[in-house]
Amino acid sequence: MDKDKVLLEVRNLVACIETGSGLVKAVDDVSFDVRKGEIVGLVGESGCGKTMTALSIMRLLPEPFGRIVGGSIYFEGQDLTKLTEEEMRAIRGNKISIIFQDPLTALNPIMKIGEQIVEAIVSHRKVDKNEAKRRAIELLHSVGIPDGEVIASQYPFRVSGGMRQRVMIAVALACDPVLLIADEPTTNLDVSIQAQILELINEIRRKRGTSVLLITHNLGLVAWLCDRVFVMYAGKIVEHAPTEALFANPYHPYTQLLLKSVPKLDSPRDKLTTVEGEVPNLIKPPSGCRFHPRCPYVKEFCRTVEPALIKVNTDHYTRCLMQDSRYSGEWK
Amino acid sequence: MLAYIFKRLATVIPVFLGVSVIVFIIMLNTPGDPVLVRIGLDPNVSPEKIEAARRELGLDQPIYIQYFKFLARLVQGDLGNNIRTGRPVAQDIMEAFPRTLILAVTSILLAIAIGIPAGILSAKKQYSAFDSITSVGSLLAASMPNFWLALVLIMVFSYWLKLTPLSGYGEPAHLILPTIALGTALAGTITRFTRSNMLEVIRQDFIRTAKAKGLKESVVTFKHALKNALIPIVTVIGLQFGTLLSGAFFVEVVFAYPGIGRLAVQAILQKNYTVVQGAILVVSISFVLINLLIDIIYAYIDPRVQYE
Amino acid sequence: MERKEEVEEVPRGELRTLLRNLRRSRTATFGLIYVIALVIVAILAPIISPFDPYAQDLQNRLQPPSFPHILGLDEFGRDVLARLIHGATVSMQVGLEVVLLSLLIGVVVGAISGYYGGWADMVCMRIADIFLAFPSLVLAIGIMAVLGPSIFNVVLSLVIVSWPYYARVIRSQTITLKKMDFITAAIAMGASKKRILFTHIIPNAIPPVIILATLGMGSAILAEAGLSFLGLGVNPPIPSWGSMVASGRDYILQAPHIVISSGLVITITVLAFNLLGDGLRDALDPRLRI
Repeated sequence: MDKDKVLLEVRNLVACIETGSGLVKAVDDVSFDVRKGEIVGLVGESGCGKTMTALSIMRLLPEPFGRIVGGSIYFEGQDLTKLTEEEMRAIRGNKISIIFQDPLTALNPIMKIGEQIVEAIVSHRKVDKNEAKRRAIELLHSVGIPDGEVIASQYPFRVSGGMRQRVMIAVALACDPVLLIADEPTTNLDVSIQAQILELINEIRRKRGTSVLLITHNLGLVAWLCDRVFVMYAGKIVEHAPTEALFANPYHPYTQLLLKSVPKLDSPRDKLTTVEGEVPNLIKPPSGCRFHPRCPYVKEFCRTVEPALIKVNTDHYTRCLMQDSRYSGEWK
Repeated sequence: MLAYIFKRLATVIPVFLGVSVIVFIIMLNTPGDPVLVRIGLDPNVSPEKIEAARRELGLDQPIYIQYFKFLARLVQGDLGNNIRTGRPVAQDIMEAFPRTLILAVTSILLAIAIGIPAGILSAKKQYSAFDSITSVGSLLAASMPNFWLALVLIMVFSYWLKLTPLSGYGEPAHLILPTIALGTALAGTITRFTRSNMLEVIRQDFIRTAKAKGLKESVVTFKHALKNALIPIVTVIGLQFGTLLSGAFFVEVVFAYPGIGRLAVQAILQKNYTVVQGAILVVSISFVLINLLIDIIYAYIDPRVQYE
Repeated sequence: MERKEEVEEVPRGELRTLLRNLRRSRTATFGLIYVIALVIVAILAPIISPFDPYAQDLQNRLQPPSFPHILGLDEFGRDVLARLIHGATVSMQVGLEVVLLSLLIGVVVGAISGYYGGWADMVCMRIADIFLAFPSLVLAIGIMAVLGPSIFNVVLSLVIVSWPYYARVIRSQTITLKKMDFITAAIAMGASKKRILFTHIIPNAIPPVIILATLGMGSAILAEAGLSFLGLGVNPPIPSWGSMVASGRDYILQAPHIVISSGLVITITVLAFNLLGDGLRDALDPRLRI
């Protein structure tokens, strides 16, 4: 696995959404990268901007409300933000694929499953219908659906939720993409099925070398699957590190609280900790450090000074004034 | 699929019966004595003759027997005779109804040809000037009385511009104005409906997935969005068919177009009640059958329906 | 123990938001203003009307619009504007009666059908289906043919034809509401079925009914105009917009002002009710925006 080769590099991405009540900077100066063959996690609570980040990479922001306002997305030597729609179309479903949270609504309800996979194949590859059908059934086998022929002739609503998600994955893998973006792929599934889908994603990385950007609010998944993690809060990246390092040594108070609130089976505690407070308003975000209203270590200057990403260890960065040498003395 | 068809057919039978009951009840109350119509208004006619006529018309039987006889005749296609001409009503209707159907079909085609593209465009260009104009325009079209529109069209195109014939039947030219008069309201309704459905469908997740697969814009719009949006439109056309048939009555009267509507209205004015009864029956039963057909088409397009 | 204030509070608060949302749409506002104006005209017709709608002036028949007869005279020399104004009274009267009566029947049948379900539901819906099997105006025409023209008969025939639509909507509303949590709570508190139906379900089913009623006014007015046009509606010489179009038709070349003005009034009136109904629909649930 060539982990050092960078596949996708997002630099200072800014994306806005126009809502009825104002302009929301859903993605505010976000930077991260995905290297070849690795699984990167993008973690945060709902509304923090992680889905918008994913949609921005695919240039699928809801028009006319959503736009990329600044920054760049480098992929295979090109800046995706500067490509034309035609050029982008050649990449979608082909080099970069995305799977969404709810497979029932994400699949066309009146189109047979096989047809939906075939469609993905023929839009990017010059193969005839029969060859495409053959490949579609093969794909269904590869995602763990043994009776691919039968399933291919069914409509989405006739199969189970877990199987639908596998179908979505099959559609995403139709043209053997180098990057798979998975937006909350298991949130809507039963716990028992979740594990299977995650294992499938792992297998895809192992067998095909596909890189994965996993977007989730569930730290448990991250611990299991990801090589590196980026934690997002209120549209900004607040900490990132290799997974083990993050779990062993979370520097950002938000990360610490997230970790504490994951119930662990072997912990003697009988009380569940939660992260206090509400999701921040992204139209008028909090001043200074965006996490300050909910931070247990907040000091006066946290309300006015915006922290930058500071290196705390190899490949480990955090956005907190406690690590900023100019202010860290205040917490001694 | 077949099971669904049979299931729907089964629900249609009681409706047919109900329709026949209601028409029968209505016709029982027609003013005037059918006996007198039969034997003429001779004041010196003997009571025996009146009795004989009454027995002949079956009016001495209790009502439910009269109904069953009526139903029996109905099933055999006997709709009685035209009181004025003596011809079987079924014959008059067989002549007139197809003409109305032709008019209905051309109107639906016109309405679809205008309505669906207008609806799709409005949905794609939501909030634009085109959208606002189309919105009000389509509502205006649906609010106009079709008999008035018909008169205005005649005034402008037949009298002033002398482009179209005044009335009658025979050549395709005779269909132009009646089609516009009848189809405009439906065009308005279809535009609004297509627009709202497209808007709803465009926002759905599977459209985002289709785009994420890298499909062309046209494929996403037509193969994915429109097909899904069209489903309820099929139902709307079915529902509006009733309004269309009713509307035909007015339009045919204004254009003196010899369809079943004009036949019925003239019959009403001439107190020719058997014709009226037959017309209402035929129109209603066709409406039920058309709705049945629409339901089956709907189940074919949207496979989810069969499993509900 | 019933908490009546809870039930009454819900519609009132909604009314204020409703009006606020309504004013956002220009077309809906136009509809509202026009309808209110029409109601006023209809009520004050004898006072507002410049002339007697029945007064004939055969010498000047078919006079085109001029002073003092702003919209001209009809074939009997009667002032067109006066007849239109009095026609408004007829239209509003018919529309209101049809809608209210159909609503009454529809609410009773629909609520009972939806709430109690089972046998009652099946019977009621079958009957509704039978009436719905007729293209509405065709049935109305048939009924009027038999009963003869008069305002009462027009209302009767249109009610017979319209009630199933209201019943269906109320029924589905009832079924949806029945499954909601606050109903389960009321049952848990020991309220009787009848109580629940009248104090909880029916008041919450009102918003879509208002929309239906508004749009229903438009259709009723259009239907009455159509029936009167065929000579099967309001009996002459009572002024009805529809019969004015019919009688104006004979003189359409020499005196188009009769047909044009009467038809235009019908169109704008129905349009206004439709715009208002649409606006209400948007205001009550923006997701249903058409």
